[in-house]
Amino acid sequence: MLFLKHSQPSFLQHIIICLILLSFTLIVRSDNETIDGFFSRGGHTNNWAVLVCTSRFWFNYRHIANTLSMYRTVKRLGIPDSNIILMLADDVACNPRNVFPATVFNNAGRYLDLYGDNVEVDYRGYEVTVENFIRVLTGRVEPDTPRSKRLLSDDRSNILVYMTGHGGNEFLKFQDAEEISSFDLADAFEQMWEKRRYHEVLFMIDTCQANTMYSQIYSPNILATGSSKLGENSYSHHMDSDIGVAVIDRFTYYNLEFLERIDMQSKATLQDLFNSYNPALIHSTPGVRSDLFRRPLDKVSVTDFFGSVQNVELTGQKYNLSNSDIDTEDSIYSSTLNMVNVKESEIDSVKVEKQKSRNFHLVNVNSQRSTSSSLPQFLIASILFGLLIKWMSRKI
Amino acid sequence: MKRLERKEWMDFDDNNNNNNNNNKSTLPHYNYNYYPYDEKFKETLIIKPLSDGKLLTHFQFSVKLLKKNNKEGSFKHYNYFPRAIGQIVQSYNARELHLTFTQGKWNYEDWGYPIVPSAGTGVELWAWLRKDGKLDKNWKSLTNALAGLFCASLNFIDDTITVQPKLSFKPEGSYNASELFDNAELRSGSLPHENVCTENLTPWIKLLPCKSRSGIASLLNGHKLYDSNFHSMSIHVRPFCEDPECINQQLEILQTVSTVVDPVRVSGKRDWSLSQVFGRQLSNACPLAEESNLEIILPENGDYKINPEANPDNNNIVTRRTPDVSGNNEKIAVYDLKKAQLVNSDLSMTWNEDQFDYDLNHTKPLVFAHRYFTGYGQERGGIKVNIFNKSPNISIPIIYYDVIPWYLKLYLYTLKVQINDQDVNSDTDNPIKELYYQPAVDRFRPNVIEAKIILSPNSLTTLSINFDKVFLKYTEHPPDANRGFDIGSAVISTISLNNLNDLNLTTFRDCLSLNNNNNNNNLEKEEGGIRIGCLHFPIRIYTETLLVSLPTPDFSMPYNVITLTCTVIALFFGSMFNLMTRNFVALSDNNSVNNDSVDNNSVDNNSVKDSVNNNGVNNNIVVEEKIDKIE
Repeated sequence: MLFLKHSQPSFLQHIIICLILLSFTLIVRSDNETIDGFFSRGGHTNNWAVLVCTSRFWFNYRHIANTLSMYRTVKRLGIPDSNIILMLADDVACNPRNVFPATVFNNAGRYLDLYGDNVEVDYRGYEVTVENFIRVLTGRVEPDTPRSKRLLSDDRSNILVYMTGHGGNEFLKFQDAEEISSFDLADAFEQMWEKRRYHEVLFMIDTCQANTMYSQIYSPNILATGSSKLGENSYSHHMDSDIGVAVIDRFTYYNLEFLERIDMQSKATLQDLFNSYNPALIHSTPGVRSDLFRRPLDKVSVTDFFGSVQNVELTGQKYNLSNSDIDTEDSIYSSTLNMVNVKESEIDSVKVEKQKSRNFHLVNVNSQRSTSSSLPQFLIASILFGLLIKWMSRKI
Repeated sequence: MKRLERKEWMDFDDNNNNNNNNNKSTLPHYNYNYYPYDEKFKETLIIKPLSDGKLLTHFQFSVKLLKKNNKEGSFKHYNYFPRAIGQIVQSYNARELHLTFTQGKWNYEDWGYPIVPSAGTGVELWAWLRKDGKLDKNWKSLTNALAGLFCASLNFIDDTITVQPKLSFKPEGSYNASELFDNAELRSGSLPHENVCTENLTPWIKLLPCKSRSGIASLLNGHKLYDSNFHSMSIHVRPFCEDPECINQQLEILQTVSTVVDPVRVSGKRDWSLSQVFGRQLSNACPLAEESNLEIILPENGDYKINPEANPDNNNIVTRRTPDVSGNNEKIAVYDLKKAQLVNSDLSMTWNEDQFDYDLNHTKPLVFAHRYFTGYGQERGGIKVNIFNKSPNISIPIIYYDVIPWYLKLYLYTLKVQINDQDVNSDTDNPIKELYYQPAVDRFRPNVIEAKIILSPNSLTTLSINFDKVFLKYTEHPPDANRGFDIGSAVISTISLNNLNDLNLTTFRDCLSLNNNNNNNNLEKEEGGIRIGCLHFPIRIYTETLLVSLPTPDFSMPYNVITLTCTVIALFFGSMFNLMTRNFVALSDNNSVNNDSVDNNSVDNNSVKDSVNNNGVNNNIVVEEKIDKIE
């Protein structure tokens, strides 16, 4: 009403509005900072993994084994299937050539079946294309695409992008039919950054001349590592003579050797991982590109990217879920409700009985907390707003 | 988040399971005020030794949900019925949903008909969707949702392969006659090239009330399942009327897994045991199941022994009619797992024989078919189908259904029918009684042939049709183009031959229950003009899938063309440019030695000099002449 009468607000009005807006942004800012410290040292609240094998055909068994090894590792370290986009360009597990049906092994000893009983392949066969890969990264998918095929990350997501296949100088082949170039990849990451689809990215690639693939990336907060430098091949580690083909590549093998020693509580850093790379064993020169990355590598936990670890303190005690009048059938729902209520009252020490995927409750709790801590700012804002109203009404 | 929900649902279910273990009497009928639905879960494992020494194992899980007063909106709570499927069916307005994942070909001649119609290799999806104005959009969303749920490329079922069959794939549920065809339409599509593996089985198992943690489903072991001659995994969702007016409806989800394993390959004998076939033993029934049976269909003859034996005194051996061969009774040994007959014992069957001898005289099914390509070369070809009727005296009506992708251009005028290798000339002899043909539109829809055919007794009916192979665009080829393109199975639908008296194609209502033993829910009565009953064809015969190679370009051709053209251009242009910009001059011998730059303004004196030297004695004169000419 006021603004309708005065078609051109005065200079003073502008200033006051700006002040109000500024105070509101301050509130939001402090919110973020609290989340930063609360959930993780790295500032992320959720983890995603995009694992891509771009090779079709049986003789590329090792690439699928590479990807599934990483899939198993990130799943073991806590990233749920709903946060993993797994792309496999061929089906080797149920391939008629496979003498061990429904299995994929990454070691001639065949200690561990990577396929297991519980695997969710999100993109498979002909679906693994450059277009789909870039669509997944940038989120420009068709409206009907199911959630399992979407990368639903946000600006607090740490994303692990792992790729393997056959490549060359600044390109990676998809299914022997098309290529993604390092420029495409860099632009896709830039688009992700513009759309606030990630907080930090670890890009890992195991292919020939892999280090050229990340050379063009220019978006911030991206850490990249590759198996071999320009002009070098990446080699397979060993073959299984019953399966008849090589089962894993060297770079991935030695990465796994490190990662297998990591558990969810591990304090190992990415610097430790990169230090473990031995060119003599890998038979090529692995590269690390950290110029776009803000944090020092010896402060970045491996689990910031390979795991999904929340900064939740575990106690040995059970929380008493009181309310005896609730039926046992409803107990699971009521317990979650209780948890939220309790957490709102007991803000300072968040102690959750079980570390389950109920983070959204914690988010509620946390935002409650941050608004209360920014109460003075809110008061200032409302006083300013009141003054503005008063001043304007006087002017009318 | 769909998967997260699934996970939470599992947790919830686990909770139920735990409750149930602690307190068996309270579940499955707990708290009806909160949960007003009546749900029944039944699990069955059927084992059948086949005539060629192989062994069919067929898992069947059925959850029936009673929807009182047929209210659409009231179907919101899920207990045993999988929520993932319930939500998909509801949100995309599907009345019926049938999804089958198959690898391998069912061998009709040796194995008879499968217990539940299997499907051709790959994935087959067909659904009856309600007409709500956005049916085609719903179909697309349905394929995408199922693709996400089952980790399969079902989203590849797009317009170019979606079909609306006119005669085949009738509704399998039961409906009020007025709404049988009026308010729903059929959509169907298949992906013959789709692989089936653990990632498809994982979500399938998660739909079961007990998952694979107890009951019959605990035998489902991907490693054994996919080490078989044939495996087929399906989901069928369909409604059944509870009363003639269809006021109360049941929604059934039937999940089946069939595998055919070959014990003869391992030991040379037909002997099998559960631990050998599945790598596991059966310990108990799923506590949530109302019925939990293991049934062995006993061979008609042969000296065999089952251990532990089903006790005939307790009526554990029953007989019932087989679904296929006309009206034979088969003997079945039934183990009720609810009564814990199999605890701590590995069920096994042994034959008193040193090695298995293939029986050449086993009974064959009445109708079976084979389909193959004819012709050669990359330009044109043909498809031929042989349909056998082995019945000595009965004509059998069938419906032939074939979908050929648009890149094979069919010519309908080449459609030819032969009976026992004799051409059919007159219209009266023509076994094709009705023909529905949809010509393909390039990049838009496939060819569809549907025909009602009466197979005369003891005959071989052959259909053949010719086609041209389309030259595809460079980008339309798959990454492994040289492998060829898969053409899905043709489907032959026929009625249950139990019911041969009722051969009128339009009226038969044989509603062979897939559960065989009780037909309580399949009312087949005509009451006051309302007909309830399923019109489906209980037997569907799938032919072979075919692989056709289209003219495949050399995919390195663009590269070759570019390099070759560039070379030619470089050679031609380079030499021409050279010739046109250079100035050729010759020098005399003397001058050239001392001060060639003074005498010649041109560049290339060395070559001239060479030619001069070659000319020998009289070179001075020649050189001077040349210089004159040039200058």
